[in-house]
Amino acid sequence: MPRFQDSAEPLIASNRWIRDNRRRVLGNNVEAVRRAFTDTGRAVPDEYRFRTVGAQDIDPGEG
Amino acid sequence: MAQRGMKFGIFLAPFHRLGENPTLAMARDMELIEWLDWLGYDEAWIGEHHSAGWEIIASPEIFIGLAADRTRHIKLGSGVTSLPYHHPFLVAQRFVQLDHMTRGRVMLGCGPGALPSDAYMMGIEPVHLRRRMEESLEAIIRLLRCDEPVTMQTDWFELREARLHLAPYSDPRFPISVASTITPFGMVAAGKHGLGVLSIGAGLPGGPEAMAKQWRIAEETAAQHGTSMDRKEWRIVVGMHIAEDDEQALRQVRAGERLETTTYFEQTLGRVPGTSQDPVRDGVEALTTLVGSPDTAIRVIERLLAASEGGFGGMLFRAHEWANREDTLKSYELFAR
Repeated sequence: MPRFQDSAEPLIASNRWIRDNRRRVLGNNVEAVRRAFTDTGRAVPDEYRFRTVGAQDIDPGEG
Repeated sequence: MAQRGMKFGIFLAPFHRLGENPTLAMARDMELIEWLDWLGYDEAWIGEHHSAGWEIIASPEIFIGLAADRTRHIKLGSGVTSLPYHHPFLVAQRFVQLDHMTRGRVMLGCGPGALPSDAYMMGIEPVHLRRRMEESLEAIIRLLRCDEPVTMQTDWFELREARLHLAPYSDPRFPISVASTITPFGMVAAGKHGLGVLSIGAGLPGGPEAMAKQWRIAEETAAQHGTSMDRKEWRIVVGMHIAEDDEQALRQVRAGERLETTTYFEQTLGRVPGTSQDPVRDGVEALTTLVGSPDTAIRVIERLLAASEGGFGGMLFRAHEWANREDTLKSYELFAR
């Protein structure tokens, strides 16, 4: 009975922590993804933003 | 699902909506694998995650250990082990033990770590993840050869005259695959060592169009390193739900898919929202989602095979709870039948 026994609470708290701190916790991932292309000598495709965790909070080109 | 042709299975992250009883959710995951084993599916790959509340399995190894005891035939892999989070010696040791305990039914899936929040909590910067994965993978492969002691030093682990005291049960070792999501990194890592590939990115926007190009990267890298790639060891991961007809299947998953995509991938993980008004139906058209009747499933798989320009060896259905329990279990049965 998760509602009354708090078994789901730590999961909800972890989710809330990320939502509340998304740019700080996830933002550096965008640069890491960009570098994974450029480090292998390849261009970064336009659609990478639609597949990248954290990209919503990073301006295109900021990465 | 037979002794020849393509392999079929699931990629079990898993995804469970927030607020659910996690103990029961893990029990459902185990029950699903038992069901797939009974239906004749070939394999299940189980994920490793540590944050964000949806993907609740922390140790695929522990899950595999129990699943092996509950099943008879299905192969069990980590999907995937986040190599930068572990000392490579311990990864190798654990999988060799599982190889023995499962009598050769285990597979090692490798990746740099999917959730930046996991790495953040462990103090690892995302820009270091891929390099660390590459270093760990090299160490694991050398250890599994069991030919000579391995000495290796990096800025995050060290091996000194290291050798496994137990050799793999499988000869020469259990299968190893690398996750490929967005960047060329996974294909390069697989090509370097001649390993299998789990194309998780095939189910993302632009994924199917990139498949053939991505595989070529692996083949080119393999040629440079004197290894070879085998399309039979290339698995494609897509979301799937089958019902008697297309509209029924779409109706069964519509609300659940939206809940997962908006509340988890967009609002929690910060993925840029899509613009489609009917994402599941459009996903079927774009080959990123496989929802519909058995005939539709066949058509989508055939189109994916064509898009790969040469074929792939397996399809892994990304396990989800878009539909209710009964319809989900029936979906796997309809596909198997």
